[in-house]
Amino acid sequence: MTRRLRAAGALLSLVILLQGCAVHLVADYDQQSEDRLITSYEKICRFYDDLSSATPEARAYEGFRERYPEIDTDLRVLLLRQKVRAKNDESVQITAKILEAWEVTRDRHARYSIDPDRANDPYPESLIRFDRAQFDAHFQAAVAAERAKK
Amino acid sequence: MEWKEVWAEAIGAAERDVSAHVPDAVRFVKGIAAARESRLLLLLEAMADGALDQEAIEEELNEERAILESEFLAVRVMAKKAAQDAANALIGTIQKALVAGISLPV
Repeated sequence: MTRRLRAAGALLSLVILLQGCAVHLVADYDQQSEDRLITSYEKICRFYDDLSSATPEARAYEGFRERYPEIDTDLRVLLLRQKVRAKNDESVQITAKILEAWEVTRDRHARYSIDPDRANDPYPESLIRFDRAQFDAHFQAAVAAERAKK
Repeated sequence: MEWKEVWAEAIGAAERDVSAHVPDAVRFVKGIAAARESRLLLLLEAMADGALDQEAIEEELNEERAILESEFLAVRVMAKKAAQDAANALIGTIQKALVAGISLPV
């Protein structure tokens, strides 16, 4: 009888313990983060579409300089959103890498545009295709990480 | 219900949760491998085109490293979520059985 009472007590304790025992290893899925990622990706796609359809000499940084800070701001806002979410280290790192890649791209575009050897085509088509593919990969990783949290 | 049955059911629930996440992760890894191969060809094309100076080549190679890190960070999220769902399925099954009443092996 005592043994059964002990077992019942152990069972009750176990039920109580398990109630507060949900495992939480990653942040909950956030629809707004995914929407913002898609919006930023759209803007980068449009940027490369416009760059690609411009004539080589019209691809100079000056003609596109206003587009950079707009996308930069979107990515910074997204990074802040990722940072304030608990257990979200991976998405913070992925977003930070996208922002860094965008800044490197901007700096190179500006540098090539003032280089006399490159002034007639500061952003060649082959580089547009490669950079676009890199941003595709960055965003695919970011969206996959967010969707995995569903 | 016997404790052994509950435990087997809990393990089964955890396994089902892990299995449900595996196809997405496999698809993602296959996709990133194929995309990497295409990008390598694009990089070679850009280099042959003279589109990159030495500084830019280094930047692009750094970026490729960053992409690889991001892709595996995404895989890590998938693995963590699978582990989270499996652990919660296991706990949930045991909890339900405890509330419903089970026979302990004592």
